[in-house]
Amino acid sequence: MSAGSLKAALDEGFEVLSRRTLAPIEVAVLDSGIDASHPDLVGRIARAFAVEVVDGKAEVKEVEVGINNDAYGHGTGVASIIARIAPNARIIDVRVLGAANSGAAAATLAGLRLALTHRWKVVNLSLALAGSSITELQALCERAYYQDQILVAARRNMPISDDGFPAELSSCIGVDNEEFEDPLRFRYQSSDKIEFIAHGEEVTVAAPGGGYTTVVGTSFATPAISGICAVIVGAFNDLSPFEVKSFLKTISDA
Amino acid sequence: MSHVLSTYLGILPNTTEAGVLRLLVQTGVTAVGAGEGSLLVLDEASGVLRFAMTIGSSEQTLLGQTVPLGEGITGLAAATHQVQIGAPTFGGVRQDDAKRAGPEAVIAAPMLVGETLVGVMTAVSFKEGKRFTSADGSLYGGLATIAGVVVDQRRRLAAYEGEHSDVPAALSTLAGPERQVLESLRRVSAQRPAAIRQLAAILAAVETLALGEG
Repeated sequence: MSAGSLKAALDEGFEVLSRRTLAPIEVAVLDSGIDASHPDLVGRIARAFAVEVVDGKAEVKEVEVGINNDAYGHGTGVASIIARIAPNARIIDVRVLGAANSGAAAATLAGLRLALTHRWKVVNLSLALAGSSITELQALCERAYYQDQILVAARRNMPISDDGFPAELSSCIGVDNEEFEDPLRFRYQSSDKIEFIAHGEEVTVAAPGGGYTTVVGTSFATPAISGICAVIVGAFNDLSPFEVKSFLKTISDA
Repeated sequence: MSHVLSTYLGILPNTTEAGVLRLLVQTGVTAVGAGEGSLLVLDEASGVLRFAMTIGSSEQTLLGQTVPLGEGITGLAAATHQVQIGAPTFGGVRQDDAKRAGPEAVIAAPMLVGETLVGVMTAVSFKEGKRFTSADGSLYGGLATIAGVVVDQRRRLAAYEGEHSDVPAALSTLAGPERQVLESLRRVSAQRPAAIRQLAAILAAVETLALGEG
């Protein structure tokens, strides 16, 4: 991409950008699974995986696409935001949250390794791991960065000792939430580890079983940024994570 | 309530800690404008959360009931160790069609001791159109964090007392094996209160065997 075309894209703004011809982009959603039979998501889920921790060891298996694979409804809501914003997103459902994995970082780390192996371009993590996982998590996020993968992660809803990992890591795009009238608007904050703030108040999302619900929190601001990233790299697919972050900063609200 | 709290959290009834936990739920319910609130404790062996304390009209019906870890917003808060805020599901995106029975708004906030989940605090509203905000979630999450600290401090104190208190006079008069069993029970009670139930079951089985053979 030339500097001129990037400048033109920035001048066009996101809404015009999203009407360009966009290349399909794989967006992995590491979450509670996705109800792929929901009308908003039919045909949007390319593959589905489930990670389960058995005797402390994470096992990954590919599961059927097109069914309800969601343990809690969280992942379906997250995926529906990405699908709404990014028409070019080919969503990969990676279920890492479930009763058997309650609080188990091993499942999320295994899901992230899977995303790295397949080099899915955008990875949405509407979750936060405990600080004790930081060493392995940081190594994986660094690897993703150098593989030109874009990791988008949620700030903790209730930060105590940290803002949440991997959201705090510089190799990721960390996202906080507040209310925006236009759900496509977001802010950049230079003085914080969590650099972006997107719409995460009273967001209408798809719910498992075909309905809709209203959700709140950083979990639902994060997929807004993931969706925007999918559009950006769909328009300019040779952008590095650094360039994508710079692009986001440029088109963000002051 | 007292049985569940003492079994899973090591919090005895009519203690300051039990009172503080109730006060935290009460304060949270009032502050976020919820009608009801509860404290559920983690029963890891059974894979459920058990209602241990409730505020509001559902008190009598909920106490002792369980919620599976793999379901609902309470299970999600337990799985993610994050505050979760929920609303009902509607048939259409305009959300003006008939609703299913159930609460209008829910907050579920994890109670953590370090990185270990010990329970979940919930706030529930049945008021039509009520929605909780991120600010409500942060406030309730903060109270759940304090509840986790209360449990942690109680456990640390019990462990300290178990390690450092003098052996009661009555124990010193017992013979070797009897004294060994009682001292072991005291240590388990202080450091792993949740294991007492398993120990009681083992002792009951041993008693049955011994009396049967006798």
